[in-house]
Amino acid sequence: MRWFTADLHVHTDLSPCAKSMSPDQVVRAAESAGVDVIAICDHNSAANVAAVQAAAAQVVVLPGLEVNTREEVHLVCLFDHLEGALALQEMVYRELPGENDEGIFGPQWLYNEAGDRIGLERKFLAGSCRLSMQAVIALVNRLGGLVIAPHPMRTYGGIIGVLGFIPKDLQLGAIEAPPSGWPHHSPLGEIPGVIASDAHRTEEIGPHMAFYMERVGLEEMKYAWRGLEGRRTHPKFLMVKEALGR
Amino acid sequence: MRQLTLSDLAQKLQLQFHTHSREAKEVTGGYAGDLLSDVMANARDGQVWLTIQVHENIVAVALLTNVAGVIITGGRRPLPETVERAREEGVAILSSDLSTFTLGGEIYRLLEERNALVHG
Ligand SMILES: [Zn+2]
Ligand SMILES: [Zn+2]
Repeated sequence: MRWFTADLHVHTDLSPCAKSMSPDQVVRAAESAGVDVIAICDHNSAANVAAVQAAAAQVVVLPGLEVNTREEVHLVCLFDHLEGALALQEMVYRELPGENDEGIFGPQWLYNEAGDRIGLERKFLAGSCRLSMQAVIALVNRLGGLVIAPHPMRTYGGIIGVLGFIPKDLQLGAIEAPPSGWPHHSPLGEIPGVIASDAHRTEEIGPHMAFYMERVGLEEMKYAWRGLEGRRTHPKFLMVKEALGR
Repeated sequence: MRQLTLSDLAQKLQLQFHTHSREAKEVTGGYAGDLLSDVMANARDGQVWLTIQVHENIVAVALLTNVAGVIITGGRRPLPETVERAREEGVAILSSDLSTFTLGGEIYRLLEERNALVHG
């Protein structure tokens, strides 16, 4: 077993709000920052994951997408294999209305595995899909993935910012810790914490947390969060616990 | 007074301007909402949009819907990046200490008065 540094929330140029995030630029930034694992999660799409995986030399690339649900809550959905991410993408695309207006929202660049720009995604990736949070989580769990609630306190796209609370029955895998810590009454409960960049620029990518585990994989990470079988997370995670006051 | 402009609203209701629109548009109505997908689907040209959202995305939604301006309610203020983007795009952003409900009521009343003048 060894330590793996991770940044579990990274965008590419497919996200209209990202800039200078080609697969090559993302991989080089991650590798020069000493990140062992990155999760690629563009808004409502996994279409650039294969290109980032192809560009990677040392860094392990977890496939994912950041789904914008009908409640306008963002959910980072991660998978061990590209097939899972693409299966979710297919279901999200079916429920994602509208076309992107590049002039207003920005271009959505698609890349091939050679690293070339091959065109623009037409779907309105910045929009919200018609699937509920519960539906997305059920789909991800059925596909063997993991759901992380990102930037929870933001009134745009954050689960607590939008809803005011985390519904009790929601099967969240983890939740991102806000940089400023938690408010006095933590909504976190038993849900593990994650520190990730939500990088839309290369300089934001970094080793924001670490997992001590056998190999890179969602099951291993779940063990690490729970401190099982010798797995554990980097002390940075303890800051989340401290902020929780327990 | 036949037309109601953002400056009229600002003066009467003590709104603070953060950015101005490229051309001064007549305010013909209003829409209130914080779910961007709902606002994109329902807000109309010439309306003022009342919201508690302060994020940069409100500028894109304002451009898409062609609203006369965005009024951020409840004492909230736009984020610096929102102001910067709105200035670049010529989108008017204002803010108010009133709640969405109260401010909406006030604007509704002003629009009704204007209509009475026009039609009376
Ligand atoms: Zn997000
Ligand atoms: Zn994100």
